[in-house]
Amino acid sequence: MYINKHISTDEIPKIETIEFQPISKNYLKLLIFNILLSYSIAILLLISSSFIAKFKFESKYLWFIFILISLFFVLFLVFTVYGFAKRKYALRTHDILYTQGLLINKLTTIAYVRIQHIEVSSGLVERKLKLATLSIYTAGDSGSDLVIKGLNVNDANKINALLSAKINGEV
Amino acid sequence: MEKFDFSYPTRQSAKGIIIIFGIDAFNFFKKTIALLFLFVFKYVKNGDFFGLGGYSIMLMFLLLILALLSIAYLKYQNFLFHVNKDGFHLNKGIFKKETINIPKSKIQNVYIKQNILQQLINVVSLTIETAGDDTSEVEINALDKTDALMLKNELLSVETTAKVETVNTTSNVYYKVSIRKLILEGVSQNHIKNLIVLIVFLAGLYSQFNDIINKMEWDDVFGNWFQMDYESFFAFMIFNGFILFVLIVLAFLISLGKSILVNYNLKVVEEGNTIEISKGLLNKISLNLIPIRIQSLKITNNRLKRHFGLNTLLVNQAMVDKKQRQNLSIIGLSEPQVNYLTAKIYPTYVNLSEKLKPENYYKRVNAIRGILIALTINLIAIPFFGTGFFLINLFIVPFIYLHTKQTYLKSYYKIDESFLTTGNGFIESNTNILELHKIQSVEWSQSIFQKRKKIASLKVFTASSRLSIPYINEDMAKAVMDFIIFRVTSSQKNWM
Repeated sequence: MYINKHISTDEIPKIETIEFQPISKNYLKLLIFNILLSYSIAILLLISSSFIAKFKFESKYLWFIFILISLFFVLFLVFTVYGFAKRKYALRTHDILYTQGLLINKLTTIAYVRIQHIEVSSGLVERKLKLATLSIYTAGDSGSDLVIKGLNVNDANKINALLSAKINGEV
Repeated sequence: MEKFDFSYPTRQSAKGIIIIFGIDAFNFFKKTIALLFLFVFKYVKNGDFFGLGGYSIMLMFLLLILALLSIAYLKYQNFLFHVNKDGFHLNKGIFKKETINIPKSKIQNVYIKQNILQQLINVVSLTIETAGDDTSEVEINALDKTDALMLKNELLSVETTAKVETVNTTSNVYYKVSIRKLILEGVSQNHIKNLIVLIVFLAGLYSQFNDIINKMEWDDVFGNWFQMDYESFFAFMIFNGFILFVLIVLAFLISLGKSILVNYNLKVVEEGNTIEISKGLLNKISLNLIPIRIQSLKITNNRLKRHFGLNTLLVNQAMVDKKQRQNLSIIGLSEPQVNYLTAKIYPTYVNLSEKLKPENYYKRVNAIRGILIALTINLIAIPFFGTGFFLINLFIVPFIYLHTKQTYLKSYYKIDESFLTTGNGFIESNTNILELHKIQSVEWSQSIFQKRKKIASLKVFTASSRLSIPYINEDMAKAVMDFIIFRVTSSQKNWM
């Protein structure tokens, strides 16, 4: 094997064997809510622009745009629902992993020793649904940060406490 | 001359007043240049300015200079710094008092610079850079060179023993750029980038002065020139072509001049296990590369540059902002010199002979991307410019072919116990080297198309750069990721 002659490759922990945890189901509600909200705004804009600007739309064009927008949002919705199951995270002894994405699946991992600081935040709707966002920052540029959205508040706080302890070398 | 003792609060050299005044005045005039232009124009046209005659204006100007000078003096008076075993301490501010403490361990780098004004009155400025954002940076405007060097040594020595070591080591000039290489490097630069910058700059200047130009009623003078009819249209096109030609020549001269100004008298000095780089004509800069703070190395050349021995070694240190990143490059190195410096920075680095290549999928992705872009260009342009525009495909198609072929050829990666090396580039060849334990995070990604072909890409992030290993076998990508995480977590070394 190319890697290392002194360490047997079996000793290296493998990603494939990790059991990932799903995020809170409530987050799907939030995602769907957001999509429906943007959809209604888009439709409202379409209707109001055709009235206010006095665009003499021929009705078939208006229908065409309406169908296009609706199709886009339906697709978006389908991808969101199917992609939701892909949003998973895992904590190991030395690192934290997060994976997401249906069309492009990504898996990011940060070793605890490289964490600079951690942030737990939750917005208005997130609080209603008992959700929180966990952001983990490294010293690298923005692309290297790990953001887990839609965690249960309790889980987020637990992970935060655990990671803080790990960083300070208490565990 | 009396030596500085940095252990109790000290002011900078009294010449600092001039430097602070110079910087303030420059900034003041830069911000108000459009206003001043209007002012002068109005004065010349009317003979007075809102009823103010020549003497009153002169008086106002003198008052302004006096105000700037007294501000400079107060800034100088209120700028006190000292160094003790905890770190660097600074008190500054006339009205808003600021106290800045920088622990020695957080000091990233200490730069010594000299702009034209500083060269004239023979002082240097010293910048202390920390790993935080820009605001945590400290600049001392005027110090005598010997004092600045002493302060630099003091700041960069973490323990007292290390300090003695730094003072005692003999320094040895390893490399000095020759005039020939300086000019060759300037000529073989990417001039297109400068052309774009120039055009954007002129456009910005035009929009800033647009109002003023309109007020000048130049239309009466030049208006007739721009009466467009069929005869003068041809002349107009020639005029445009001429302007483009002038811009291209200008861009070439600017990039040549800039390269010479920035890299003039480039020197690489070895001091113990650190490397010091100094360079610049108008803005002299000198900085230390400390191996432990280096995040990654990048070696750039192309076929032409290889022939002339013009390798560029770019050193990425943690949190160095874009402006200073340029200063961390060493140009015009021959291959043995590159190898020597690499070995100096990474003593344990071994250049493996076995290159691991991306999958053929990489070629396909590039080809498809190129064809899509070409199709878009054709679809948009042909209705506008007519079918004659189709001829552009004579350039586009070979370009896509070459791009696909070259990027694949130049793409590779190597990994061993402690280093990751990757190669990439299209016209240029880049070699990136980083130590595995400096990696901050790893990202593995795979699209649904790649999933069927069992292909994935990796991205690794350090504190100041990112490297990608594109389109390799899925299992290989996972193994590399596992290995990197293993090395990061099992290594006792910190990233900085």
